[in-house]
Amino acid sequence: MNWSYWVPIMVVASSLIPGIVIFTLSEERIITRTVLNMTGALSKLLLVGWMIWGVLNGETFETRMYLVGDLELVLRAGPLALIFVSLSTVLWLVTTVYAIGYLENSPYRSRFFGFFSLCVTSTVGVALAGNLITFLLFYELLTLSTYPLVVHRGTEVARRAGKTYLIYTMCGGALLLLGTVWLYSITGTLEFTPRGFLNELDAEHHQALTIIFVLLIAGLGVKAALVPLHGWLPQAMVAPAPVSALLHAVAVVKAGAFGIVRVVYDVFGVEFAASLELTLPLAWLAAFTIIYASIRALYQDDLKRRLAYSTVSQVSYITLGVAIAGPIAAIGGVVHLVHQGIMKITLFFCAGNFAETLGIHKISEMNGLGKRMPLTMSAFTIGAFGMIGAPPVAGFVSKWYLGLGALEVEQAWVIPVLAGSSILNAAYFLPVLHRAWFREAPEHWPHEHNFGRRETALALLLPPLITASLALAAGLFATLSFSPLEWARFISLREFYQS
Amino acid sequence: MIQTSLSVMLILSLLLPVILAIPVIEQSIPQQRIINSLSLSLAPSILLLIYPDTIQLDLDWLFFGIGLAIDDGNRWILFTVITSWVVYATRFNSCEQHTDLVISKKNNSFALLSITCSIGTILSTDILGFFIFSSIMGYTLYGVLYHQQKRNIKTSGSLYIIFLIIADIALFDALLIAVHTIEKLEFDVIQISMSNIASNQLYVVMTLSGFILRGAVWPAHIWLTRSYTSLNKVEAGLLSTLPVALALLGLIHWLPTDQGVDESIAFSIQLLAICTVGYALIRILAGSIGSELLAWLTLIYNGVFLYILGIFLKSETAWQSYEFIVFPYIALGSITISIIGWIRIQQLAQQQDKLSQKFEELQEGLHSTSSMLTNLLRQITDSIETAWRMLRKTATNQLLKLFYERHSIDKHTDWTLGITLLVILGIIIVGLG
Repeated sequence: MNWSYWVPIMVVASSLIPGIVIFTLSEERIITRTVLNMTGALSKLLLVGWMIWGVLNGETFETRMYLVGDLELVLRAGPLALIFVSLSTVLWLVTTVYAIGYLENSPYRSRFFGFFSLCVTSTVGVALAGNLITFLLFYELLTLSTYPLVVHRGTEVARRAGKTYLIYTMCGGALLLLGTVWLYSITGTLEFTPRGFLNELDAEHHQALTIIFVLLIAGLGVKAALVPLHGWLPQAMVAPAPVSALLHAVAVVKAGAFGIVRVVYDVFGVEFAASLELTLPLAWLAAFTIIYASIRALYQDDLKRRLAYSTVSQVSYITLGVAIAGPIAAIGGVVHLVHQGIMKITLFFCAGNFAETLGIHKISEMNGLGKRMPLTMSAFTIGAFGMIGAPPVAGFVSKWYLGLGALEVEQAWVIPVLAGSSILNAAYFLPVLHRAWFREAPEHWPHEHNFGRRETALALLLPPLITASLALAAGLFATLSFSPLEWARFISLREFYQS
Repeated sequence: MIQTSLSVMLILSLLLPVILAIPVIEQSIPQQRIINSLSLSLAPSILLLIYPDTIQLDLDWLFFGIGLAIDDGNRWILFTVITSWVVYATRFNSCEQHTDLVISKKNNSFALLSITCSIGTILSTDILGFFIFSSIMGYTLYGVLYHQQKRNIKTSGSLYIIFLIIADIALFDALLIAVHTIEKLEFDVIQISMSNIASNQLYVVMTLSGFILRGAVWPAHIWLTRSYTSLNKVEAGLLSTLPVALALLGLIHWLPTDQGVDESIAFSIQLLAICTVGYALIRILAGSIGSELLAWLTLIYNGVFLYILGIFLKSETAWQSYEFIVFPYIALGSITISIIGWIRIQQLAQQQDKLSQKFEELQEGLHSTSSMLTNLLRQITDSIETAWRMLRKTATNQLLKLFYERHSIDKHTDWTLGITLLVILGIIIVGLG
């Protein structure tokens, strides 16, 4: 049996099959559902571990299936794919544990976990996609599988948010489709290739390629929440906390940002994109998004809404890193794909804990929270400092490489953007921390649940502690082998130096 | 064997306070154990202090690879820092505020983390390690000093954190310039190499700005004077021996003292030093005899140091000749100020002079201007957002209308819309073929 052919399919199937089975389960089958969820998540983790080991030893994991005509569905485990697939696999496992605790006793759990698994299936498909058409398929599947999760609560606000989400993402999908079809009509291939596959095209196509680039980036920019295509994200925060965590850290937003990385690196090639003068405007747009969204975050009293604007800002670091078009900045951008995910998921888990345990949704209600929930608040503090870019949390590593990368290619204007972003991040996170750690707690919390000696349920407490530790470890041990930074270096090396 | 034990001690001096800081978050730890942890955490550092040898350790696995060392120079600073923490621990033991156990525990955690970072800052052998430890120390020290909810403490805490963040950004930029130009970040390499490169001036300016903000040199001293008037004497004493003294230490480690810099920069530093000392003297003569006195003495101490630094930066030989007095000056100066201040504060009641009131007014003015600016920013972004929302709504409502009319989606079948769209996508893909 040719394992290298089947493993990518097995990685996708490890969440797809449990997802389909879960749909058929009745609400009371809690144990079966939990076993299916955990088995899927753990087996995916093992399979991804296998792929990483194989790739490090020179093995190639690739699956090809004919779709229609000459178009193939290609799943390939390259270095860039593996960094994203590892992130989504690890965080899916943690989020599953969290979601099990979070949704205890709530209705429609089978529907929720079914779509939850489909969502991860789509994300893994996006990560492993070996060509643009496969990417597009999973990218659209992701939209459709996350929509029911956004509207899961069934409230009017949730339905409205879902509608906005769908309009934005479907429009984005349409632009992406248009760009893909046009590109295919010019090149006859959509295969992701290191350093791109367009640089040998005649100069007569350059104008068309510029428009295609804009179409693709606009299509992907919707999910990556680039301003002004970000409107859906702050609204989508009405979803349950595990969904928000998934949207902001693992799946939707990341799929958009990852898509931008793919288009710039493996479709156009960063040097070719720079020669068409496409990367600099993209960098400007990313920089504007970083600052604009941070300013918006300052004025939000709703915790999840503030975190949502923070996501809009932080995800653009990835785009900025790619668009600066230099090897060191590329490391910063790619590594932030992982770092932002770990830090942001921590913050959303904590926000969910505050809401579930004490009924706290607003920042103005967070006085003295550190005293009542010290462990959750400690995790939140680590996540917040990471977002600010304070050492030694992972966010510092990303900013370090982005700054160095900008200096390397003489784009020093990026430094004030990073500095401004840090100040704004501090301005909207530090008051939250001050309130929680140093202000007096109220006599009664809005809706307090008693969990005995523990500050909250164990299934809710462990995930943020694990992800906060990961965020700290990713900063403290950044240069160790297998760290996200080392993977990002490997990817940058491949993109810029290997022929 | 001895070397290994000393290396372990070097790591323990940083690790032990962190280990002791973690469990105190848990609510079931007994009070006495918490109090003991503060004193216990200093034990490895005290051993390092009394063992008279130079010890060096490279931790390549930590962060981007940082080095730790203790030698005759930084042993002076370590002595100051340990003394300050011992005084603080003593105060903590006798503190009457222990009625609120959790606040004590929290303070203790912040203090333990500050101990690690202050010792880490001193033991660092490169500017990256120095930056990381001193930056974290800045934040954890906020938890130690500004935990009370009095209005004046909150205001001084805000000023402290604002200055800290801006200083960190300046130093971060200096770090980037250094890595970009010379790659190696050890103090001795920096001291020699940074004077010979084109971006030297920017690096020096960024470094100076960062440490002037952190070290409370005139005119960036407001946070210090405000803190001294609002904090109690033991906590205020930590300011002179930790952020201020370590900022001075940073200046001599980060700047190319061995090779000299541009004459005009050295002259500017000396001018700043004269202004700082002059201003502090005027304030003392004008009658600042309360808690603020400690702050003005600190400013004089900073000013004198800056003047000497200016000489080092002008002359290539001065540093080699007078290096031996710099570390004792930083160490003993800060301790002396703290002692004088503590005695003075006990003798005299706090007084607010007219000049202080004017400064208060100035700060109020700055505060209201910044509020006005933030409000303006908010209004601008709000209007952009509203305009964009309206534009989007007009366009998408039309689209939706068309779509909804055909599908008439009801409350319970909303998700079927997704499946419909998936089918449409499938049709498009087939169409492509």
